[in-house]
Amino acid sequence: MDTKRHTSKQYEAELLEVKENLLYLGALVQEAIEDSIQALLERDTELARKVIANDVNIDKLDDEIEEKCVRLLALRQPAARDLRFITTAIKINGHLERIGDMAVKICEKIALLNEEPQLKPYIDLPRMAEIARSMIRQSLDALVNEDVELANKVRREDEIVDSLNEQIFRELLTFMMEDHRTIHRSLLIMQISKTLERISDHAKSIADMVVFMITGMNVRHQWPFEGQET
Amino acid sequence: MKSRLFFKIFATYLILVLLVMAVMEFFLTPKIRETITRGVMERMIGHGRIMALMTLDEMLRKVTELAARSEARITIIDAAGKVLADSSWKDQKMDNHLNRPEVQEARLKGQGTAIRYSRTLQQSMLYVAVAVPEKDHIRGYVRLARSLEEVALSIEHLYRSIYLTLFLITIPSLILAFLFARNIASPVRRLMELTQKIRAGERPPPMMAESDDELGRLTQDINYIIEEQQEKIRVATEEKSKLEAAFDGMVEGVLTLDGDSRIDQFNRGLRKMVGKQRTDILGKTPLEAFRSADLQVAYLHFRETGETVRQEVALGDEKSLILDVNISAIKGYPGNEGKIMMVFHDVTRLKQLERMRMDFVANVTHEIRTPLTAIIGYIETLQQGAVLDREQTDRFLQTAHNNALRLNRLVDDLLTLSNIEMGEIKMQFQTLAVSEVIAEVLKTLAPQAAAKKITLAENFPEDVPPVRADRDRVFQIFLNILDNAVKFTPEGGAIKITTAQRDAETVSVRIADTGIGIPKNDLPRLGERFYRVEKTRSRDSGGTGLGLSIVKHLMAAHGGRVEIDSTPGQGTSVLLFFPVFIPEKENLSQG
Repeated sequence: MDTKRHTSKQYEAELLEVKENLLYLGALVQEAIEDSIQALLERDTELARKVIANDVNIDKLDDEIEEKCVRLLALRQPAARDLRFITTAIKINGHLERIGDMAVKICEKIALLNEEPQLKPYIDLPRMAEIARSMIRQSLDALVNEDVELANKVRREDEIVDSLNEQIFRELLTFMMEDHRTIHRSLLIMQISKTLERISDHAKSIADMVVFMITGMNVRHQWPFEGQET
Repeated sequence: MKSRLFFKIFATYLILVLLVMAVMEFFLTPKIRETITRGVMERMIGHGRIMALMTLDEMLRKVTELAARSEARITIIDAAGKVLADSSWKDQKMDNHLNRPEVQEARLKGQGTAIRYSRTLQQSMLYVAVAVPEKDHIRGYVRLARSLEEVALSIEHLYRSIYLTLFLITIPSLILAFLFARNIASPVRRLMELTQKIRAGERPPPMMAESDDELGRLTQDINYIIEEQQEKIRVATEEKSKLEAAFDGMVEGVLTLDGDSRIDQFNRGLRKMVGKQRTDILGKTPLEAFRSADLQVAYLHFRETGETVRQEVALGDEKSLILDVNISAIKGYPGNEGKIMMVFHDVTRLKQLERMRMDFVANVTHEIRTPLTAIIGYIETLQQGAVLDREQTDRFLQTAHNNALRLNRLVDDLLTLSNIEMGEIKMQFQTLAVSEVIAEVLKTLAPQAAAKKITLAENFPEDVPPVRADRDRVFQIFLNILDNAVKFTPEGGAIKITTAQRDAETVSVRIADTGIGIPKNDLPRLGERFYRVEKTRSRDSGGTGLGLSIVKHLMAAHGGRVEIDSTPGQGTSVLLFFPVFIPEKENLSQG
């Protein structure tokens, strides 16, 4: 971000600090998602518990960022671009924190799943998780590089995750209809899938916010494909 | 010539000359004026006293002559002040002159002087009066008068010559000043041009010293400095390029952070390591550039404690890159405070090997323990009395035997593998049609395939040449692969086997199934011993986890190779490349 025009070095440093913290939070959240999927694939309950325990750090950082943003708003009374950046940062911060909570939810389900034999090989879940994770990363990349193009790409990727979620739902439905003993596990997997889908929704929202921050245009309720109906 | 120095020196001279003139005007002029006036006055007194030697009558007769000789107006006054004669005013009647100050003074002292304005002549006049004595009383006075303007005129004359002299002095001195100023200014200017060239990065030739004075010495010194500087630059450039070569040549990735913790330099090694994922990292903070929480933690720890930090960090998507990072401060160079260096060491391969080894040990243990546990369990049951039940004994012994066989198979596989790896296995190469061997394998697997309703499709074109291979080994290769294909293809699937001649020296066999597939990440690790895509998935299928590993090694022993491609959920295709049997080559190697 071009902050060189600020006369106050202190102010500039504070803005940069918020940005750095946001990226750090993003990295932590991505790691949580990665670890939870690894815990799922390798049936590693220990790792799942680690993710749950680490959520404290995410929450702490979330509080910190919010406090910094509010302080900046109160003391510096930013205008235009800086104001957009700070309000965006507050919102992105909220989204990231929610994603962190969702990773915790996934890990709780994984711990339960691991108590029973594996229902089926997981193929689509890791794909969903990978796409969701890369959406977070790319939306933050877009923030760093002020890349509207990339942000828009992220906004479109949400679709893929949605369709994967539906696919998993149909697959699990057949499992449940065939054998009622699989219902519990199927439901757990369903919830994980749904949670991943919501994570990608949050990632899309972050991308929306990034577009707003760069262009000043609100695209939150616009369809990312041109000339297509919702 | 636009030298400031020149103008400064020249102006100094000019001012000096002007100052001399001013001093002369203000201090010397009054003095000169006074001296000249007094001189005139004294001369007039002299004249007066000489005139006073004459009698009044004589004077009266010769007044005109006396005036001409003394160049003054002469007035002769009697003791009472009555004007007897005047050289200038012959006919007019003149008033009594006794009260004139010069006359009064002469009456008392014998002579008197005065400078005053004459109303008669209407100009400043210099008057001198001398008493004319007769016996012991004053008979009268002779008064001489001269116009002061005449004095001024003579002063002017004097001045004219003084100014002329000054002028004559000034001109050469200014010329001298000009030359002197130029003499100093022009070498200084050339020195300046020289230093400017150096500043602009040029390499000017050394300058000739034109004199032995300070300027000459300065020129020599500057020449020396230039030479020394260029030597230093040469050495520094050399050092720098050496360092850069080392910096870029090293395998480790290196980057440096400036005082604002932004990346200001990184080497080719780092670009190679992270290049695929991260471009343009220059000017970014480590977090912006790499977006790794691990790295940030290490970095923050370093920033807080200032201690050198060494940590393993995972970078990239799905932690595909594991780096050992060493963060330390760059010390010992003034102005470099706050600079930080990060050295990255790629340990991805190392970590993989470590994991492979750990997996291997864990797997061998597990694979061996499973049948052993079963065997021990059944034997213990038999010992505890089950042996009396004939029917149960048979069943238990059968199971124990099966497990013992499985154990045996496992040990055989491991042995085969280690033999191939050590190159101790003897290959019996012969001419071989791969399709024949495949057909044989398919016959063996037909019951399993039929049980899962899997369609087996063969496509063996006639023109595929025979290969050079060991029949038994090839059988094992296809058995392992086709067995996998059958195992991991769900009911109602299909397996398609196609042979083809790829080029003059290679025959390829493609075995494509419609099975569950293998995730991309796992593909590179498939040949590892005991590596399973999913930890739980294939052990129940009765495999030893060594099948593909054996295939890989056997293909290598044949001089061929394996390629596996897969899309999760859609199927896997295995491509095998065998060398074509070429008789001439065979003869050559035998002969």
